[in-house]
Amino acid sequence: MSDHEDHGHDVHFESADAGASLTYPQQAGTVRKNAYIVIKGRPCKVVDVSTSKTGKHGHAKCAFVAVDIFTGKKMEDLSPSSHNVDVPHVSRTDYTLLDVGDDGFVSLMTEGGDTKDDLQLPSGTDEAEKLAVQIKADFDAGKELVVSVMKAMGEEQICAVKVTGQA
Amino acid sequence: MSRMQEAGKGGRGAISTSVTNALSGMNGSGLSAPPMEAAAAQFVQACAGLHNAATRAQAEAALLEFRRSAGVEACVAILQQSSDEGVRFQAVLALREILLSRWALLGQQAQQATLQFLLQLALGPLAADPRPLLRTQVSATVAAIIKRGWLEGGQAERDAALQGIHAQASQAGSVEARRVGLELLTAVVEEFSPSTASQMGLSWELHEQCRSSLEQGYLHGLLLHAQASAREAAAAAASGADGGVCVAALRLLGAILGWPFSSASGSEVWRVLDSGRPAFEATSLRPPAAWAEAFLAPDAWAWLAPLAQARGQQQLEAAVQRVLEGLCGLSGPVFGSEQQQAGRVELGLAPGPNLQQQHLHAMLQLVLPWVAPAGPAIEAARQSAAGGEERLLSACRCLLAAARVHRAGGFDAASPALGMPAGGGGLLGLLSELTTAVLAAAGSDPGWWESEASELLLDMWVELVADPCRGPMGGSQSAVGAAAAVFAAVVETGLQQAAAEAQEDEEENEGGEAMQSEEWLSKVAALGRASAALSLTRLADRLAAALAALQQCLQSGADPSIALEQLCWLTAMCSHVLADLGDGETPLVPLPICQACEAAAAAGQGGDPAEKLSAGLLAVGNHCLAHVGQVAASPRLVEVSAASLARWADTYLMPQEQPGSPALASAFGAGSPGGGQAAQLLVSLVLAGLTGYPGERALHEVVCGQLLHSLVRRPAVCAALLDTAAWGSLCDAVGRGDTGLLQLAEKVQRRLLQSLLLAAHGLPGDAGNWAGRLLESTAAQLRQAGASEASARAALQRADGLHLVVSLLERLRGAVRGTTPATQAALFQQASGMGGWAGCGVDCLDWGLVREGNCRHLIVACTLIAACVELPSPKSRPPPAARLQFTSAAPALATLFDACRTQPVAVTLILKLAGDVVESHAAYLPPPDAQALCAWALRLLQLYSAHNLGQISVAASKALAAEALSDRYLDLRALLKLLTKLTQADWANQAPVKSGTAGAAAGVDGEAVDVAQIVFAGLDIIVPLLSPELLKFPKLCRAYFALLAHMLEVYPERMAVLPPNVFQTLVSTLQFGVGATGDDEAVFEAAAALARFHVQSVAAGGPGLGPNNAPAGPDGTTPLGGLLGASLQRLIHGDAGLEAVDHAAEAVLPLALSDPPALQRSGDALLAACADGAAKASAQAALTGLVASVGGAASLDRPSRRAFGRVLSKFVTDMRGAVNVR
Repeated sequence: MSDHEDHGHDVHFESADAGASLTYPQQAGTVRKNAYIVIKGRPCKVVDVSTSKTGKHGHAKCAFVAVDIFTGKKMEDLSPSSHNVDVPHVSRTDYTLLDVGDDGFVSLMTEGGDTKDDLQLPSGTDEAEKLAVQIKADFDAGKELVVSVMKAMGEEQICAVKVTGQA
Repeated sequence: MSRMQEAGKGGRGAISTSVTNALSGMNGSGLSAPPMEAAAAQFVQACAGLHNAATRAQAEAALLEFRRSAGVEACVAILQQSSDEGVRFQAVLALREILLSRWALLGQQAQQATLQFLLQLALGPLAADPRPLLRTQVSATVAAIIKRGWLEGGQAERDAALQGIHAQASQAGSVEARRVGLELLTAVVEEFSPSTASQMGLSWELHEQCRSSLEQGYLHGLLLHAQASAREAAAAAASGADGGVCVAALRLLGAILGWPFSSASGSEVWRVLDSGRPAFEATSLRPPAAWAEAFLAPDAWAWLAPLAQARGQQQLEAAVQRVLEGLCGLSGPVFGSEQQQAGRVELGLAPGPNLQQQHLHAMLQLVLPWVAPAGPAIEAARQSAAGGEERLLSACRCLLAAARVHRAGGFDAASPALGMPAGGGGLLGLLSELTTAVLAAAGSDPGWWESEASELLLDMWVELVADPCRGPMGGSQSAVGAAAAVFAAVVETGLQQAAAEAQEDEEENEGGEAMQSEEWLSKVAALGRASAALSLTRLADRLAAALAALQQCLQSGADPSIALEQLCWLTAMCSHVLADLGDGETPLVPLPICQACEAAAAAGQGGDPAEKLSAGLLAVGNHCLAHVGQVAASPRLVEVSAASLARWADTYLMPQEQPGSPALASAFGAGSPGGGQAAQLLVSLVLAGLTGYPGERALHEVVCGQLLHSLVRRPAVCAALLDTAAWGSLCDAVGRGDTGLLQLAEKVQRRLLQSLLLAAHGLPGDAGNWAGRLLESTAAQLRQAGASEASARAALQRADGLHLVVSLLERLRGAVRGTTPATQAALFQQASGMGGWAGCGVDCLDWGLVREGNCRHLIVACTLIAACVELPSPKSRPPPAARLQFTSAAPALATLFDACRTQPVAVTLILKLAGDVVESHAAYLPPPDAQALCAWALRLLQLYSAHNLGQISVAASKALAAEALSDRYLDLRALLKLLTKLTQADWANQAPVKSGTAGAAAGVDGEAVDVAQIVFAGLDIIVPLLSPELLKFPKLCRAYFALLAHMLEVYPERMAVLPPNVFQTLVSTLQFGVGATGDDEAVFEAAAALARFHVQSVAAGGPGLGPNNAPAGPDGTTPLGGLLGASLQRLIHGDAGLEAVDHAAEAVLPLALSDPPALQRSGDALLAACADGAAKASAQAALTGLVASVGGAASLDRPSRRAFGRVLSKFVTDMRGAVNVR
């Protein structure tokens, strides 16, 4: 851990959950399609932005249509384009799959060789269930698998899998 | 059965006997008697089922099946026996379809018998039917039959076909038969005219031959016949006692007047370049000179006069209107050429009568009573009384067509003959009153006809006063006065509408609406320019009044929306009148405005009108500046003023060319104090727009992209700007990283820096230093951010740091784009130079961004690097520094690519970047760099392949699944683009296989890599990823097959040595492409290239495709044979258009030559689909013709291919008929 301080803010933390901001404010007018946004506390991917004005001589407003990146639920929000909206940090990390437990928990290995055992197989939507079945089947067949884990606002989910060594 | 008895009395029994006798000769084209009755019964039942929603789908399927399976005689029998109009209508439709699809199967006798049957049906029992639906359908079918057989017979048959109609109509003797005869001829003309022709499954060439044949041999006769018939019936028609003959004759005339005459018939082609001009679509009739007598004889149209004024007969009025609309557009050689007139003068003869003028006079005499006086005409239209709207609209269309031919000069000269004074009180004055009245009606109560009529009349005025080729119509004072009056009315109406719309919410549109309004303003501005002498001053007064009204409104505290919107409208209108859009060119002051300024100076009137209006526009800018961020300067007003002033500045502010007038030169020319002040005002407006309106992205884009961009275009303006305080403030704000500016959208920041750096050409001596100062803080901040890994991570973990880095990178990218040759050297000498910045970007990525996984920044950094490597222009070789920088950036990019594989957007972007790099650099890279480039591209492909194959991901919803698909689509397109660009590089075509030469490059492991290898490696990646869903993206489909076609064309010899599994996959994608409707041209081109190589190689004693084309499967079909089968299946059973047949011909010939037994097998498969003996025989004949043609094709040279194309076209038509599928 670094004790480096910059403008009074801690910039390095052991864990992303240890009080670090999970989002940053950005002017609504600069959030574009395919970017991320927080709507009603959920991290979302923007699928459509449209701007409008109240009367021809009013100020611009942005209407966002977005999809929750974990649940796939559609969300909408409206904000004056000069105001700030929250934007989540979204990261994806690849891990090697070590084990799939009967309880649905998986054991993963980082590039550095550490293990990570706090994740379950994806669930909640049809596609997630399908992916879970696929992972289990491939793992049981003895294939070597790498999973991608998407992380945003303290929430993590396995979002993709591939068999390594395949052309 | 009562109907049958009635038919027997009416002579239908005789028809049925003759047609049944003739059709009985067509062995096997239908069913024997009892099944035929059953089919007819099913048909009748299906027709009844059409009316019920529950049974409709089933009924439609049954009807389609009937069309496929039944014969002509079954339709004839239904037509004879049924009394239900719906059933008979369906029977005619089925008959038409069956006739056209089985044309070749029916003998000539049966064709004639069916034609006669239909003719007698139309002229006999149906003639008196008051409901025209069935008769119209029968007429159309008769016309289609005549056209289908038109080119098969000789001159005599063609004569007989048309004369037969006339003779039978005369023979019948009744008024109804005469009317039907004319209706049949109208159907023929419409069927032969390409714009109204129906689909027949024939090639365009045949349609064109039919058109040309009818035009040259028969159309003139038809015109005379129609004219004579109408003239004869005209008197009775006025009282409605002609039995509809006159209307039918007029409709025939209307069809002939809408005929598209070919230029070969003696008229020269005259096309306005700008197809967007209003009257481009207006009726234009250009018959050959030989038709002059029919059109221009003194009494040729006299009989129309009473009909034109007849009221109360809707059909008659509509027919007359259509004829007059056609006649008003009459132009071309019928009026005689100028040479003819000159010839008369040379021979000492008096000049001939001005035929054109006489014709216009005659037409105006007929049309003007519809709209003059304007008041009652509009009132009639408003009350929809007795077809008032149609009459008014038709008059407008007539006037528009006439305006296009005769222009203001012709209209003005027509006044005396019409009994009006020449000049303002004449015809133009009358039209001006009409337009004003219609505009007023449209402004107060915009209904459908008001807006259409006002647009037609405005188009007419544009045609009258502005000639696209010769500019404004000078000299005619009456035209100027009338145009000014119309323009004033337009302005008033526009202001009324602006007031009405001021409170409406504004939704984002796709640009279509804005473009439409832009076009409309440009159109109307032509009127303002034509009357510049009057309109400019009036407009300036109106603008000043609107500004005063806004200020008064603000003082009184009232809602300013209406005043704001009216000011916006006027500002936009003024800029459109004053200046044209540059569109990349240097716009000049419009000629009519120059003339108006000269005239004003000569007359000693106070003030230059253009200067006055310009000052008005600048006053609006000043108003915005004085009220930044307040209600008085709404975002929309600032946006509109910025766009208008940008347009104005492009033309008027310190122009390099001669200014429009001395007054303009002294007011806004280079070196004038006014010019400097205007430049300062505009740059202040830029700064105010960027800082005073946070979040107003549209406004920022206009201010940066249009206003600032137009300011930095001219060195003189730049030089003036550099001394101004406002420019200094803007540069300072950028230089010190003003937080307001850093909040702007990325694109805007990029444009901002690009424009600021472009301005450097205003001070060539000091450009480098100045650019350096401008960028110093940006580069320093960036360097500071990326000083160490820890600081980069620290900065990038925080929102503000992240945003700062993104903005800085975008600014750098803009700066790179804005670098000109003058500043380039200086920029390279900057403290860290371009390479340093690129390195800085890469470092930032390497340190922090990749690990944070934030793809937005990857995008920015990648585009920055792309901008750096794009920097050298093709004209000058890149300085060594830039090349070095590429070689240093490229491996970093590959590493980056590896690191950011989880970010699909970044992956796509890097692939795109690679495509850009290859596109902009491949042309002038020396061999070592080319090698590096090739190796890099191959490395990227391998990385992509390693990361993207076999991955299954979760897409939590349909929306995200669609996103995933489109991500993949974008990747594949970027890949295809990269590969295509590689193949287009000069050194790619040298393509030596040996290593160490220009086309080869050292791979990562030291092996030589050449372009073809990379492309095949790429195809190897792409082919397995393609899916039917992906090929539904047309751009991807096109790109893939275009690349494939190119590769197969250029490197066919590599096909022979491809690994068998790759070759098979490739052929299977081709089969997929051949079978689907995608890009037929590229697909068949690719197949053709492959087969051609094989055929030619084998002919020359080579191995061809060798083992790759080895027969496989039980029947020994080769892969090429399989492609042939798929092609023929597509052509016969698929929905291949005629163009596809043409493209396919190129592939089918070499494919058939490569595997002749496969042709026979494919043909046999098609024969098996034929239902009966006759069809089989016809199909067999078609196949034999095709096989013979393949056998006779000695080589693949152009004549053989063309000859084969014709044979294949006939084969497809005949075979489709035989297998009962159209």
